[in-house]
Amino acid sequence: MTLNPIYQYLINHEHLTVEELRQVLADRRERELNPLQCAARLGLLSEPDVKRVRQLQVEQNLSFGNAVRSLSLLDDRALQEVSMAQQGEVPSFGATLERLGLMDAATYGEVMQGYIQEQVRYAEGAMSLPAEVPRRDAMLRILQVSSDMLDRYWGMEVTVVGVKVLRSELDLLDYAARVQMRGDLETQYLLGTVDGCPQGAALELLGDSDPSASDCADVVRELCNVIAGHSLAALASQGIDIELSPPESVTSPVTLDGEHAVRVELIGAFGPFRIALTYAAQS
Amino acid sequence: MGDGDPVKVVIADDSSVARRQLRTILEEDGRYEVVGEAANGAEAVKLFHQHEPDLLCLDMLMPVMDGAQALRAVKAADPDAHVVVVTSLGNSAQRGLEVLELGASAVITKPFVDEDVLTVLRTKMSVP
Repeated sequence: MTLNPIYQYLINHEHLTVEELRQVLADRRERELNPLQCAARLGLLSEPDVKRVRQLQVEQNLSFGNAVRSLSLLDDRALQEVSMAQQGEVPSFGATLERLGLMDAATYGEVMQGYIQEQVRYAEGAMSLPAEVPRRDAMLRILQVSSDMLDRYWGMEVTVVGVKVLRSELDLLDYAARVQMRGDLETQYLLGTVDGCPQGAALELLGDSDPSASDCADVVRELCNVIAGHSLAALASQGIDIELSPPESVTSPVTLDGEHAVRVELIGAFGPFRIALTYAAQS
Repeated sequence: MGDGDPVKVVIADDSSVARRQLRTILEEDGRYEVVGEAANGAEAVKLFHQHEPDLLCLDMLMPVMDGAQALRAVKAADPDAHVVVVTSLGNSAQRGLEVLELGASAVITKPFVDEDVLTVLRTKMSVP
């Protein structure tokens, strides 16, 4: 797992708690300028244009990009400029730590030196799943696809905070779903998260601020389904052929019957996730 | 579908979230009218016969009757039917090829990207 390794390092070495990391990520998110504000600051939109865009977004539930395109206010190049400016406006991680009183700049510099040294060691050796996990390359690929999908497509800014092998029971938090993977790789792919996360995802995906419990369960099933599907494609490119079952909701904790599981914990903008892959227990 | 008439669409997906996402994309575009939603392949085939839509958007991985079975049933009944397959199977070229060989007009991948969905449909359905 390579996503946001700096955060992983900070947690693993107890420079930050999970709660503090969540606080920093939330703070950065809050301070990020939205694209409309960025476009106005760049002088690309006048005040009346800003009002028109905002009104259209509210009336038709459009994204910023679709709204300005629809009003013929900005072309793709200008949108790219807005996007770059928006990224530049996000306060740095180190600056946020200092502002929240969690770590001063000098200490953060020292921590980063340690992180760089550890990365060099990782590059020389291998950061991998525990040795008992079979097909580790394939399992890692699935986990990598998982974090990439959560991060890239659903904007959850996930980072890995721990890997654990479980032998009898699998706690997957409040909402969980499973897809069976069969073929060259035999495993159950399970994804769980806390109450609040599916609600955040539903808002992101559907613009629905008050999803029902049934919708929340469906959101988690769909995340599980889409991740498993993309894992299938990633594995196929490595010559590993699998078939998937339709996703199903499961109740946590899940009993591991004749199987063990490797469980990865991630923390995202909407809360923690747990992703697990099962494998046959060695007799 | 006459000139200026909206394209009538039936959406089949076991995920209500995915159905709502796709419905929103299509309806916000203004050139499509979603006339039915199905939660599995069997319902999709039934709604296809009931509504005779211009387009059936069919998820591949569904309970009861999966997308491939439903696609075969629809194409057997109406070889000219426009069926767009919706899949979460990433960019697996092999899977895409398989459904196109079964008679699908195109493949849309999840997660949905509004512009990509509309571009595929516009191209395949000759929507102005």
